[in-house]
Amino acid sequence: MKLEVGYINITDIQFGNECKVAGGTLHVNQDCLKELILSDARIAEVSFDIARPGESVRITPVKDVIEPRTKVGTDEMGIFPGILNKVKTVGMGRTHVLKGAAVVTCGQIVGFQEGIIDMSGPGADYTPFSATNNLVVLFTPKADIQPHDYEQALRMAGLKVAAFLGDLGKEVTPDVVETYETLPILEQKAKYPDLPRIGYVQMLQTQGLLHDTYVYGVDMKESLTTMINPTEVMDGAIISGNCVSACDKNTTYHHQNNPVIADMFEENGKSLIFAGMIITNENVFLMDKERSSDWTAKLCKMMGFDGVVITQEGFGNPDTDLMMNCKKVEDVGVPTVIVTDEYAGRDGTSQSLADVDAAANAVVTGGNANEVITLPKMDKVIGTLQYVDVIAGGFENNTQPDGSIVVELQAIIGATNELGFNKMSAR
Amino acid sequence: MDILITNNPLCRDYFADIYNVEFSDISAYFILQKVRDFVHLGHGVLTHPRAGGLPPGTSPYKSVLLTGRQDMKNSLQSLEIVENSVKAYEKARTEFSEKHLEHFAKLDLSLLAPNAHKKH
Repeated sequence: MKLEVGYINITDIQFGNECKVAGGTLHVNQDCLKELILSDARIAEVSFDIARPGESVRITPVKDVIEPRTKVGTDEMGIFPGILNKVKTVGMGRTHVLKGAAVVTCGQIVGFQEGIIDMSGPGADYTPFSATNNLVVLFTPKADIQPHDYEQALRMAGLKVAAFLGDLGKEVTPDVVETYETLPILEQKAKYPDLPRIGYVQMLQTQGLLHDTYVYGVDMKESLTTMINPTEVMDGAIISGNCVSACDKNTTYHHQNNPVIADMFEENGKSLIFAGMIITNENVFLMDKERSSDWTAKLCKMMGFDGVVITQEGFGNPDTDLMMNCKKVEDVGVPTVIVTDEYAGRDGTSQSLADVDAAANAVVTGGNANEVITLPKMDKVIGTLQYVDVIAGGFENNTQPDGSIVVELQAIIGATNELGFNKMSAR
Repeated sequence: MDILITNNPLCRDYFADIYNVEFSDISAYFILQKVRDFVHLGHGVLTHPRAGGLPPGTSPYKSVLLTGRQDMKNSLQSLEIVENSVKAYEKARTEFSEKHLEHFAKLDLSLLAPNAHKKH
């Protein structure tokens, strides 16, 4: 499959009367977006704000971050297939991206919520979304709505806004065009007979309310481990419904810009063959964990991989899935490198993972989520600070007299991301 | 019948006819200790005791499903998983404000019964 991606550089977002992309600025008419969102009766009110890199702004509680993208020159394929558009297979043809822009959804779904993005100060270094121009969408649900209904409404609204903005780039000439291509197995081998065939196993968080991931509209916890073409992921085939574990969840933006996929494509045909991608789930029941990891190992063997990279999402019980995947894949003779993060206590001396295995002898870490950071007061808060004491990584009475807040890194969106989409690691 | 060890009243009621429910109004840490006791008697864990993406001490509720049969006496996997979970909860907070209890209870229920919200 071959996908051409045109990147349109966005350096600013402005509110105005029109919706358009011109001269690197994304112009947004709020009324158009309001109409789009309020067509869902579950949402009572919506408002918008803009947060730019370097501003004294804190956004919280963040639910999802989404990059505006669109399919070009096709009526058949659409971004976020099976969810917002037809279920038609994507990952081919041409896609335009508003690079440097992001849609950030923000709102309280349950009484405890999490996810901080600081646009400046020390916290900004820990989240990639301090470097994007963010259109923040703030929701107020209808009274007495159930959390699962609200989560779905909010998730869909974010995707709709991102797709709407992405469509504004359909006719714009991109600043950069990149091509990503995967070949059928036999052609790979014929073209690069001496290179190792390396696969990628992506584990997706799938535990239930507020912890789900969707693939072509399928709730991934209901799926067997399966295969996907990496270019499909770039077109929004995987979207996040995961509102928990801010530091190491994969937002939809992370999926669209998966750095493992990017790096594997970069090396494809040079030091390795990017031979295929497997997606698997992280369920609650031990039987599901056994079945899914059995299938991961089986597919790795069937594909004849010479090695795989395995990435995790979340922490705690997914550590068990990670170790099962690692051990079983190694047992069928395929060497692994795993990417995870650590909960090693505030002083870094506790056991990092909830589960371990001797087979995990090549480990990349995204950092220690328990590390404590003081976030200075910001001039402006988009959303509310009402929950910073109950968010994961927050603690009671953590707001200081000077307005600064003390949190663990796990409160910051993407701080210890397990796709490697962050700046922390260890050697 | 499989055994559900829980301190969540929503789970107690929802699973009353489905599992042998062992309900106790004790902290998540003590629920995990109770789970460990059952594992030592030969019951196996069916759900991961650390299900969900919330760190220890975030939610007061904990529900773990175990096999009704006691033929797992040598299940190192069950023992390891439960021991690690107990350890993770040793220092977990046990005091919670009343205002979010309902949401925590629903979330805990959803981990074991993803479609439970359709019936509530």
